[in-house]
Amino acid sequence: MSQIVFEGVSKRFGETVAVDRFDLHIHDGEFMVLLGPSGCGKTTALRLVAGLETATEGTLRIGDRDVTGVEAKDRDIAMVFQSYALYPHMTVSGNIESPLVARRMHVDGELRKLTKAERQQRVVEAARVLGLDELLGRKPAALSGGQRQRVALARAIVSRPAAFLMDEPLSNLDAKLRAQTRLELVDLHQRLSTTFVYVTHDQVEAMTMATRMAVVVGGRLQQVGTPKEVYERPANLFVARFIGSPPMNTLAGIVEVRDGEPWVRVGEGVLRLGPIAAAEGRSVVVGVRPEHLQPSADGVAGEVRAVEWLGHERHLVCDVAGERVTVREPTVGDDPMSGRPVRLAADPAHLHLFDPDSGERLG
Amino acid sequence: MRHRGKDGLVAAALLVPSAVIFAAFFFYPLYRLVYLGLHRQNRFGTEERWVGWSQYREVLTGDEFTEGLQHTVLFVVLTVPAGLVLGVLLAVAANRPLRGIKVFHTIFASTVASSVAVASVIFLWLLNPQVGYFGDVGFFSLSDPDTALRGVALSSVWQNLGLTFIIVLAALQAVPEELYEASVLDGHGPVRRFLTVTLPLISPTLLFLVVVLVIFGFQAFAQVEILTGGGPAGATETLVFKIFQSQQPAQLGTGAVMAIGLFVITVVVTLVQFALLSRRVHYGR
Repeated sequence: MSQIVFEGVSKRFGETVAVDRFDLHIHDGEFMVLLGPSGCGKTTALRLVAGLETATEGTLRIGDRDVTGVEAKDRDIAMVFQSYALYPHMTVSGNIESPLVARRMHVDGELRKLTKAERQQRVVEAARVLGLDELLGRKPAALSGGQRQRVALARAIVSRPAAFLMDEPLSNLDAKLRAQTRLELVDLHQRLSTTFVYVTHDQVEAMTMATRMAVVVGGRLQQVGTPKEVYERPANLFVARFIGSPPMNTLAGIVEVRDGEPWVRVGEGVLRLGPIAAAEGRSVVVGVRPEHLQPSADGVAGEVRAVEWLGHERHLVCDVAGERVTVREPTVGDDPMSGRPVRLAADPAHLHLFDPDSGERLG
Repeated sequence: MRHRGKDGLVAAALLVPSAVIFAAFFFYPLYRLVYLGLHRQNRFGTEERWVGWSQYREVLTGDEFTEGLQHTVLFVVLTVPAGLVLGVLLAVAANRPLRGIKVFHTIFASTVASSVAVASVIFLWLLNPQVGYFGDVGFFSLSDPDTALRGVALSSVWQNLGLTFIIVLAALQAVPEELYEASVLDGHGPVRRFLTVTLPLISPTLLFLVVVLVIFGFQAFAQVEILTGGGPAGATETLVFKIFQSQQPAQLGTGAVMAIGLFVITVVVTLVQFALLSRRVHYGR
């Protein structure tokens, strides 16, 4: 069992609250991505699991064990650092071997140090998994970025830990290599079927790799769910505005009822709502993803300010009731002219309502 | 081709200032040393006589030079390892994010701001056999020929400590924090972490310091002049001190040969250090 459980875990640095009362259950074998903007506390949360930081309050469990006060080396985890943290004076082989040298390992139910031969065998196995066989004698300085990243991964898998912790491991790679490595990480996760906890600010990484993701903003856990759940039903405005590229449009509005049907008034126009429980006259924030808005004969009124042509699609950047709204549409027909008035409508099923004060999702 | 010729001219023009400075302050004095070593002056310095390479052989195998070299080497042995170890210990101790640690950085580094003369005068009083605070510590006694060089070495270790401290501290602060964290996760204790992470990563700095401190040691003069004046019974006469003493015209040739001998030894020792140590030094990142 290698579940990881945060129970009311907080971490404060002086006055600053980096992690604010986290309650998070990461299941055994899950690929959990902690996603958030920089400085949101996601890395601190990961370092708490690693034992590089100590929780100010709360309990942290790995497997069935309370590890809140357990030393990093005894937590049975492995970590991949953003900079890879390879020892520059050691060969690839020495680097991969390093977690095995000083620590005692569980071998056939017995806790002991590995022999030189056992260590060597594990290094060779880990190197084979990551395709590093040919590079074992080299120093990190003689490797490319992608190769160093593999060495960091090999060093993580060599100790066969209960969980892998990864802190933005792809951020130093170029875009092409990053896309390739994403697939390899997913593949590695499936092969090892071990718990992965992965920290990133890149939502593409979160969406493509996570079995579940946790969105962290301002030190607080905003939403936990599968990428699909988080994208389709954001729990609050933080999440709505953070996930999606371009992110969800949000507009202030007031609920109206006409002929028994609920609508929301935004500036001069109205959008039809689905069956929701919001009283007439209530102020709301209505959210709609760029791909769910389309120019139409009715709907809310605005003006096209710019057109971003991307080849496979184009983004109409519009002003609606004083807010910036992006519409994503296929590149069919002529590009609309800037400055042209436009009306935008959306399928009621794709509208999200939020409380303007708390930011929480309504319904 | 024309382009290359122009580049060559520019390069030559840019090299002129340093070439002039080197010629005036290094090559010409070196040439004069060799020249003086081949001649003997009369006692007024008004006439000189060619004596040839025999003077080199006589001086370099003579008692004066051998004795000076022994004292100098002993001085290096007494100052370099002790100074380096102390500097590294201080820097490691002070390289932690504690409140007010900068005050200690300043204190530990402060000896950089003192000159050899200042350090020597301080230790002259500390080690003075009559009034010095440590005057009765036999191990460093300046009045005993067997221990006087240790007293001189002590003052040099203290004076060089600030430099060693600053340079090692800078090297320590350049070691990426993530490497220490990786080492924590690898289960290394403080000693193992120091040996497997810190030491290899600061090794280029340590090599630099070994070379510099050895050269400082070979050049030791002012501390000898101030603390012991070469005594007692010539027990602290280092090579540079002996060269300094051969200033009167009749000994110019002898002094010049000793200076050349010291120069050659320093170059050879430095080259050997690079050859031996650089195999164990890690430069890559």
